[in-house]
Amino acid sequence: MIAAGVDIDNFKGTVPSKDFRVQPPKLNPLVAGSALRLIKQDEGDVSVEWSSLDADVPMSDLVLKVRADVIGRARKQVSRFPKSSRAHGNLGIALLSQGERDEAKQELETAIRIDSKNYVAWVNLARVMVDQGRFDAAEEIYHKMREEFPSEWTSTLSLALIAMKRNDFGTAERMLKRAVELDDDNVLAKYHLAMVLISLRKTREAIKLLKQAVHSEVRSPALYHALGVGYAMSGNLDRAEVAFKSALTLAPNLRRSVHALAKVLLDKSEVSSALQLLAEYLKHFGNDLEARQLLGRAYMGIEQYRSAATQFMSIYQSLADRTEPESLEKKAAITNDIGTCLALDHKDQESEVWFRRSIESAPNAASRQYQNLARVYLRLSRDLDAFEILRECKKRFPQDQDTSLLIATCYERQNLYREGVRELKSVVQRGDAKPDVYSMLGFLLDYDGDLDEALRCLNDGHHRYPQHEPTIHNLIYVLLRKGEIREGRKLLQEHQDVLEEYAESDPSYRPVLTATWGLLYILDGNIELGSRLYRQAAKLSAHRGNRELSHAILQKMHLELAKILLAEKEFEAARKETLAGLAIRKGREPFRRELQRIQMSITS
Amino acid sequence: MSDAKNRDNLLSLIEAQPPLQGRFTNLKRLGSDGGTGAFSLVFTAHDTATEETVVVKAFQPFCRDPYRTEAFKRESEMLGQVDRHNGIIKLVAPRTEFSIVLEPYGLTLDVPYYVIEEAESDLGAVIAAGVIQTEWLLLAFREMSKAVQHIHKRRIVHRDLKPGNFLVTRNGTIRLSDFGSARMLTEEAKPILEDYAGYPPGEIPYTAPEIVCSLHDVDPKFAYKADVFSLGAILFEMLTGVMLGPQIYDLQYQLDLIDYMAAVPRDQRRRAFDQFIGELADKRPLPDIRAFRPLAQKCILPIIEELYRKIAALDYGKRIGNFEYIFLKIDQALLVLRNEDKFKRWQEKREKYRIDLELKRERIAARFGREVGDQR
Repeated sequence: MIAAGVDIDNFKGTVPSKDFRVQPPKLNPLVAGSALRLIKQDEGDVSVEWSSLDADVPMSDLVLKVRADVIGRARKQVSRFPKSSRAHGNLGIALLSQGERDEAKQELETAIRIDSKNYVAWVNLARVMVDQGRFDAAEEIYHKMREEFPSEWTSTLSLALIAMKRNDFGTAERMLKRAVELDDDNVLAKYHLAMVLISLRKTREAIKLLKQAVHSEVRSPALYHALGVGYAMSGNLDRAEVAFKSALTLAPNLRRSVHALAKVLLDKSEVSSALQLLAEYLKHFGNDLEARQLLGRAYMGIEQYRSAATQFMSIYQSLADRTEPESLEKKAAITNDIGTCLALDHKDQESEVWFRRSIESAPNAASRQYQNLARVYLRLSRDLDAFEILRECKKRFPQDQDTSLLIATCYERQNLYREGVRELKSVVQRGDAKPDVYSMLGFLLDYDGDLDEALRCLNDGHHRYPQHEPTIHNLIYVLLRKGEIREGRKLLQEHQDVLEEYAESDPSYRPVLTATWGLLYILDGNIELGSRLYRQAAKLSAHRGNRELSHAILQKMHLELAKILLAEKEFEAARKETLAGLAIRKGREPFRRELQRIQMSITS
Repeated sequence: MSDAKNRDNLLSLIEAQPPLQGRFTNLKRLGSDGGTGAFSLVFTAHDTATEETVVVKAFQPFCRDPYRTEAFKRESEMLGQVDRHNGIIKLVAPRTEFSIVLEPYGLTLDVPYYVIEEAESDLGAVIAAGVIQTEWLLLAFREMSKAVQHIHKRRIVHRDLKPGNFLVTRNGTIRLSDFGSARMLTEEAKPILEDYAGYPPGEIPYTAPEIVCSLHDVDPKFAYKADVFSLGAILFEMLTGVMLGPQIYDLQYQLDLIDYMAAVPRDQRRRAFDQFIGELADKRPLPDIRAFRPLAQKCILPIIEELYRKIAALDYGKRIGNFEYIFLKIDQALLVLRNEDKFKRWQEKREKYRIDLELKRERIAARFGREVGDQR
């Protein structure tokens, strides 16, 4: 069967997550807001991750002086006025601004003990509690503040943010809508409400609010950035690009906007614009690893794998000495990316080293580095090594279906079709098999000679994933193989456009589709056109460097012609075709077996 | 012997001095430790010439820091040049020296000192107590601004403006003091000591961002507008009781600062700073005074908020350094405050007039509509 199987050249780099960082405009320092990471899932859902500002600030003389003075000045005031609530409050705020939460909490509590009406101390204490994850205690304070200062919206806003942190987006939405109703100019409330609405997939409403906010605060890059994120989440990449560019006009080096704009440009396939943006930015901020990673991906997008690998290597160098688990995982991802670039550049030996390094960095981080290494081995015809590494991968990631697909490919290459079938059947039985599993299983069942089971499996796969092209193709093939030509032709004509489009997007599929058309014409009796298409498919495959497939296609052509000629009782011609098919040494075992069977029947 | 004991002995020795210049008697340490200065010792004394209490500021004789020595010398010199202004602390006697003998070691030490008028307290203490009357706040701020304007006119920049350096006298007037970090910006002026170039003077929470990034090393004139920034930071603190510094110079600021300014050569510092501060001002605007629930009357807050935003602007290019503007805004606020009831009544009247006008317009529109309908 010339059918769509697993493409061993499909090396997988780190999958870039569709995430955008947003940070509220710093309009009210008393609101317990913090930075967010909005991640768009494949199904369109949005997940929210909170990120704090506890970044490691690199120490320099200047930073040390800033820190020492900010806290030192407040301490001096406390030692001068130990009974002043304001002095203790100021020390608490100073400590909080430098990330010293525990000590800040103590000072703020002292300030409140001295003067229980110190509003600023109360609100900052609640902020500390939110940062420490003590939401109940913070809520208690905010409720109290709301009772005492009903006109103050800081508490309402902070309560809504706590609801957000508890993933109670419904309550957050209600509260923020009330805050916006109370004060139509409340930009901060509009911003946070928009973030809640984005999380609830109500992007249209969110965009409307962010547009209003941008009109009120025309010089806030944070708001333009948030508007860009809103557009990006709604899929309107053109407008997202404009909004991110506006943010960058106001703050040309706003890190999160540079990253977001680069991602949008890459999504829009405007790789050269992304390259220009990132290269310019990295001239000044060479230590921004995320930007460098995006630059690497941009180079990969235009198939400049060497340049991409150089970018990834410089990230790797900056991570080289790190040993903490998070860095090791990053290192594994980066080394995998380097290996992928080299493999795509056909530097198989070098890529093997990097994939190995990736596995050594973090063996339990991801399965893709094992699979990539196996692909390199398969490409180098080191099938046993591939099998070994895939077994290791399966031990660590037993549920990974791509590993099973590659194991099945190894079996197929060793002509162990039954073992391949067993491997994939266990995946199908779990009930969550990917479409590729159905198409590959159908392919292996056919090679194993079980056409009925292959048809059943492919029908099942087609029923589950009606748009999956390889499954459609393999189903057509099996129908033709079973002699259900009318049915096969109908399906092929029905899906002709989809399959053509797929062949356009994945050139490795083109010879397979051409061969299938060839088979249909041969079965229809148009032997001349059928043969021509088969030869064309073989040529295409050889041109792409896949000689094994090219031989298999030619062998299959001889097999089909022999079958037709035998049916027409033209034994001599059939014998010639059989011999031509058997003469192809690098063909496929099932075809060879069938050809031998025909030869025997002619002889008898 | 411990440092505290040494200091105590030294203070006792000075207290036991015969009348300084035959006029300043009865020296008593200020507080238990003779003031809080790291390099100066502060005493109260009786001035027999005026029969008033004065303050004797002496230099710590063991201090070997050349910067501090130079700063102490300059302080009395500067004060001598500007002290005729009502908003600046009076120099009663210029810098001179007396000698003390450390008996156990047989050592004679020269102690430089100068004498200034006595103050009751300072602005820091007033803010910490949290009982500022709004009118006093406005008047005091006007006086403080006038004092700074006065020294700027004489080409002197203070470079260490903070609440603790504005002293409050017994009758409530406010006086600028501590000229230790001040500089005369004449053409031949040089940094106090080259060793200290690149290190921001003053206390960071009241220091303008351009000084934190040492732009005064590139051009000392930056210090003029930096003094105005400090006034803005003090105004914010006077109104809210909260220091402005930690609101600006937080962790994010430090990250940004490192990103932009790390390893920038001196000749490119200004360009890098301009880009950094332009972005910073847009990314993180100054906090809103009203968010901190200030105790001042609400009617003046919009005026004061506007003033604070203009004089404490992070970007020196957008900061207003014009003292006349400050006086104008303070006078406006005082006018509104003193006529609060009248102002409220005027506001109500204006609102009523606006509503009446709207109603009248609606009535006319309705009548006109009816008439047009009738004609049809």
